[in-house]
Amino acid sequence: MRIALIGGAGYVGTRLAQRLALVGGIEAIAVLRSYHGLSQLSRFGVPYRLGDASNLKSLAEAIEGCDAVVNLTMGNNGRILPDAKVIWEACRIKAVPLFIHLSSGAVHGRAAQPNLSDDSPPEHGLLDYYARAKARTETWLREQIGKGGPRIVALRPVLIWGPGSGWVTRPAAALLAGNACLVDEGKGICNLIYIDNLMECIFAVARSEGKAEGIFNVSDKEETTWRKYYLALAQAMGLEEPHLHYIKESDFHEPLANQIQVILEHPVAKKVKSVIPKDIKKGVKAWLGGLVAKPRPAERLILPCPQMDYVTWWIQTTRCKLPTAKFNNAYGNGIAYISFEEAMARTAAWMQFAGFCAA
Amino acid sequence: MPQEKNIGIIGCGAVVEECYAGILRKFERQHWVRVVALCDPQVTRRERLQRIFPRARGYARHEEMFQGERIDLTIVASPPTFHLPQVLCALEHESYVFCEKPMTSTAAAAEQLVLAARSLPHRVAVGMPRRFYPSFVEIARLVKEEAFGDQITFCFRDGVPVQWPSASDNLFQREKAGGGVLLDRGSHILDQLLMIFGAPKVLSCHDDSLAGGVEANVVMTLSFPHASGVMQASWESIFNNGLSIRGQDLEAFLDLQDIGAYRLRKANGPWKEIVARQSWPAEVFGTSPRQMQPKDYGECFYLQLVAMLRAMTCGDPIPVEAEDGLTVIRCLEEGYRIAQPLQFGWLDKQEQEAIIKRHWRGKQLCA
Repeated sequence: MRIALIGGAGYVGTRLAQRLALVGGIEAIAVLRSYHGLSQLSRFGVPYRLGDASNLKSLAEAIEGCDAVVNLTMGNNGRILPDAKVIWEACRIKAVPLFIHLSSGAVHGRAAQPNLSDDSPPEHGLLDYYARAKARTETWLREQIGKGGPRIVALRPVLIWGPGSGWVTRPAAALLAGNACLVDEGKGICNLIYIDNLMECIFAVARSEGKAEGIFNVSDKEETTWRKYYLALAQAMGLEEPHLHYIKESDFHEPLANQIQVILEHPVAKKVKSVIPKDIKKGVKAWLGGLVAKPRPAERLILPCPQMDYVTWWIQTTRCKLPTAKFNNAYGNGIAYISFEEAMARTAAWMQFAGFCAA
Repeated sequence: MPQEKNIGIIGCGAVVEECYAGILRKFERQHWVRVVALCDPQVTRRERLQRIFPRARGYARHEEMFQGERIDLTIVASPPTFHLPQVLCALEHESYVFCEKPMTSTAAAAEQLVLAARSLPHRVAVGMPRRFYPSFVEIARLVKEEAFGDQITFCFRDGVPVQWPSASDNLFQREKAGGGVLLDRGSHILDQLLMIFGAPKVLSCHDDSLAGGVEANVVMTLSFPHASGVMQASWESIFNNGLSIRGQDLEAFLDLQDIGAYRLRKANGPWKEIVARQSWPAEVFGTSPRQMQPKDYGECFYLQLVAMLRAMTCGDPIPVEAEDGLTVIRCLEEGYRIAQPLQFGWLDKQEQEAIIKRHWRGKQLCA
């Protein structure tokens, strides 16, 4: 069996390529938009092809002869739906029978709807541009099911964690600095999926034949709160008494910088930004930075202080664990999920390697 | 008005477009330099740069470039395996040389280059913009003043996924590039440690490359005359990045994202943030030029080119001498010579065994 990893140099793609290069079982071909992705992959000796998901011809050539395609593309929100369309069409042209698309649990926002299922409609009005783009892509993919193209399986992880993940490095850095902060005592649900569990879900779909199509939530087995997650990270880092700060959900106000960022993320703003020369953008940024910068004292004591950004606040107020029965019924047989404790032990080994553990 | 310096560029790849072109255009507007020649075997690469420097003539071979132009400063930005003949040719044609790191691909070639540079009046500098990180310069001063006390240990981590717009896969093939993240980011780290502690000795080196590829992670243990420690670089993951130095009397942490300050504490006391004051001349000509403190890597790049031109025009010291480039290359070469497979405790047993079995050095030694 041969699978094409489109966007194979990202976090998930690199781990898939590593596993397949070291253990085998499935032949992987990394499909890269440019050579720089090889910085992650060349060490494994994984074969690669150049192909761009914004260019049907190049992509179709890149996936020729594959039995499945995994869409792991990242980046510009405006490209999420068009890229998925191109990949689906390339699969159809080259008769690739299976299209595995990586969506995101972000389409359900804070998972606040009662009785949420894999097929519940997304809360469009509450979502950011990324989640809206993912939701639109899911809608389009649903419409293609049964239209004679490849079998479509969209997997919906929320927070992919493990060695090297931003959902490990950011909290770990905050814990180390004594700046980590929990909303409402960390009672919110942390919808985690360990990288190797997600990898096994993808392999289970790739190895299946003629099974269910559709959109599936995927996650770790356990229900984890943010408090449990932060305390487990702190313990793994060797922090015996972690300095945790607490705020109430209602006490957080969206900072001006974030509101500006939201405006800048708008597709129209992004288009305008793309035509402004780099030097001018840098100059404007420096000028604006100078306006808001406070004078820096020559010397100051460093004291731990709570730090909370909008994304962290939003995600820490997640209400429910997304249900995964649909995936487990269709594909779950034979997947040996790694437990939270084992996953944390492995992540601890990586945090030690990466310098996130207490001296 | 002092005379503009003629610049010739050998190698018109991504590094010139990304790092040099914008700065050299600024220098041209100030009438400090004039880019007169661009040399690259690929016409398309030359033509891309000629759009930025329309007055520059294109050459396919460096020998032709020196026959056709009077070059005051040659910027050598080709792949390292080509550096030696290009630098020697530039020196023979009485040009100063600013050579991208690593200075050469082997220590033998670097020794030859240093020898040639010593015997000729024109000088060679190696591109190491991180020498212009104010925080590192001030910590180097504290180390020299012995403020840290005895038994200095350090740990230098630099892990950031690479976003380099490579025009080919040459950088990622061992036979063409010579190595991966150690050669790329390790050169900078070793040079910064050299600036602080003096010449190092490589004690061990572990990397993650299987046969046929180049490493994306490397860990090296090093000893210096008065310090010892670990350096670690990654193209794969973000680490808790920075340099921490611990002595009996003082401890410091230098954040790679905030080069204008550093943290200090005395024997388990509270951490203090100290703003660095180090600055450098920002103008090529004149005896009392405007001073500038760089805020980021790009500004460091600017200052090192100003420093190079000032070395040519005002007799200021060369920013990073070829001898230092040679020391770094000796460490890189030794690291690759003794490289062992890196242990990944977070992978399962089967994967760890495969890494050990298929490590590039093992394969090479067997062959």
